[in-house]
Amino acid sequence: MVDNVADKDSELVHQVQNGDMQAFRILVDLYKDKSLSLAISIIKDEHLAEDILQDVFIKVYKKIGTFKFRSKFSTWMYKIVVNTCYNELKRQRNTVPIEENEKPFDHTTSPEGSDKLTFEDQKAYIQKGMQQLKTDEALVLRLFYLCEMSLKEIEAITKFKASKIRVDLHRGRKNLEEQLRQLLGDETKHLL
Amino acid sequence: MNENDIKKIIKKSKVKTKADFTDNVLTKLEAECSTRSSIKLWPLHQIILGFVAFTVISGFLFYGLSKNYIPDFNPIVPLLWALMVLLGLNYVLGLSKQRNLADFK
Repeated sequence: MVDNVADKDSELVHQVQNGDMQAFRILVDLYKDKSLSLAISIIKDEHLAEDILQDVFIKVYKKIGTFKFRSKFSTWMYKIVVNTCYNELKRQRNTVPIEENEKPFDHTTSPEGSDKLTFEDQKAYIQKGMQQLKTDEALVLRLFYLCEMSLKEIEAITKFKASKIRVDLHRGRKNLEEQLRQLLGDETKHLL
Repeated sequence: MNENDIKKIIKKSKVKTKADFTDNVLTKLEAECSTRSSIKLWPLHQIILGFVAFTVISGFLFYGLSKNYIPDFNPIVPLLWALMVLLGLNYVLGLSKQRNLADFK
């Protein structure tokens, strides 16, 4: 399955390298949502993350000629997403003081009953829970579970040490569980 | 929560881009490509060849003319001239490398 995806990606990349814009459109469609999720882990602001992501895809198109197939395209792509977002975060910190991501919870929005928790509600609560996590934890969790990257690939993408990735994964899981419990109480079990 | 539960939960945390995201990227890309192509420079190997040819030809011209018109002409002068032109080339290559790196970052 993973190999099929990689093969499909490689084929698309070859086509883009030969100037096929349609293939690039498919690549953007394939990677935009996961990339946006990663960008939000770092940037926290959805609109800004989406703007940055547009620039990321333009950068990817310009540099795709230098992609030598030594790694998976997804690893290369996410590396650009992560680097660009961290650079933007650094630039913002140097110019405007930005709010810390640990905002207090809005407990007034807790669900009243499990039957009221629609799929969209579930997504909203989970995203809220993810937003409360530390940047590195949220990023590592999404790379591991959402993008299905291995520890080695996460190491290549984030340049974090393997030990830090393991700690972030462990703490991220624990903290997410805690955040969801705070947000939803016993309703957490209905998320599954 | 076990590993599978966490996986399910995080899969649900996927955020969707706006519907016109891909179109916006492609429009932006086309706009950038057309601006870039209008100010496109020569390829790097042509710039290098141009500099080397200019250095050799101007060096010889400089040497030939100076030898005829300046009585105490020192032949080291055209060499210094050639060196200066090649330093100029080095500067252009440095700028180009920096620009490429900045583009990638």
